[in-house]
Amino acid sequence: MDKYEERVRNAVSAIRSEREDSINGALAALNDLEVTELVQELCVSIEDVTSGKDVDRLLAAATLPLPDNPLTLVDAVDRKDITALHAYANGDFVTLLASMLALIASLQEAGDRI
Amino acid sequence: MSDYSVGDLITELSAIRDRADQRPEYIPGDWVEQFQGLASRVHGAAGGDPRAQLAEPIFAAIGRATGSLEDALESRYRASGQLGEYIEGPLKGERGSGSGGEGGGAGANYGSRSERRASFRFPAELKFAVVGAGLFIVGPFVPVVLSPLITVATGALILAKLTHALREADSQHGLDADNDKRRKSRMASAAGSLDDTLWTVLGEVVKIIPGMEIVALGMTLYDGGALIGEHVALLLKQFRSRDEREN
Repeated sequence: MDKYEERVRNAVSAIRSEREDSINGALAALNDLEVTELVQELCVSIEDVTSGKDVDRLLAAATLPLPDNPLTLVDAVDRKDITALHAYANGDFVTLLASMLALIASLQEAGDRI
Repeated sequence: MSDYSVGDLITELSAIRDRADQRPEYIPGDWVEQFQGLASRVHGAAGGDPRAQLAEPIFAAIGRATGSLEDALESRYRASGQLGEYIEGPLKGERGSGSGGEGGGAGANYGSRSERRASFRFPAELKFAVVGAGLFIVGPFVPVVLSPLITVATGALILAKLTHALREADSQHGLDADNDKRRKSRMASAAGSLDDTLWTVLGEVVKIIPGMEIVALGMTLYDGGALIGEHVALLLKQFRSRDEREN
């Protein structure tokens, strides 16, 4: 597991824990990652939690907070369309990062439960 | 005399970042004092134009402090090259037939993690910005602080510290007691506003270094965090070129 995969996993786990200190610590660990590769890793992580799954069912079962228009994110990742991700967040990296992490955490939690 | 190096600052920044109770707006006062001391010593030893004299060590410090930025840029360029190889390479056909092509579905069943990441192509013109102040809310969670966000944000903090030291040194010598700008720099740093911080810092840099008009022009094109590293790299390149000419 490389550092991108490891730190994104840690961030997702922290969000699932809903503990502020864990979340802040895990997000701080993302600081020194390169932006492009971090976004790409988040895309791969979304692939992991949606591949072969009934995404509508996962979304319906989600109990952790979801970002706005989650299917837009899922579709953009499915099409490997970074431009669509950029448009989703209006170019704001923080919004995109938060949205993708929340989506991964929610879908992962739902997938583990159902 | 023991100087406080930029490497020391980076080490401390990293340590602070790693602490669970870290707050990015927290900037230890001793960092400021140590940089003030460094700037003051250099300033006091210099003759001639004090601004030009002071610029040299400040820029040398910035060069060291932003090494991580340059590394990040190099990584990005390397990744771009690898991406090109991925697209054009002989494995393209195998990947395409295995999972429905580059745009074909989940694609979670081929290649290494890095190869999968590279399959998400970043258009060259695409830039992400850090628009907000680094604060966002994930659903019902408490507000999550995400700034300093990336390497450039860490670099911004370092640059802000250097600028602060410069402003303090200037004030001490009666050259320019622009308290409003100093306050703005502090406030921008404290708020974690990357845009404000970098704008202020780069503005200071442009002001003190002759021949930096091109950077000022570049600043008008500034559109977010992705460009920050490029601005800084340009600054460093110009500084080093000038340094080599003088030597």
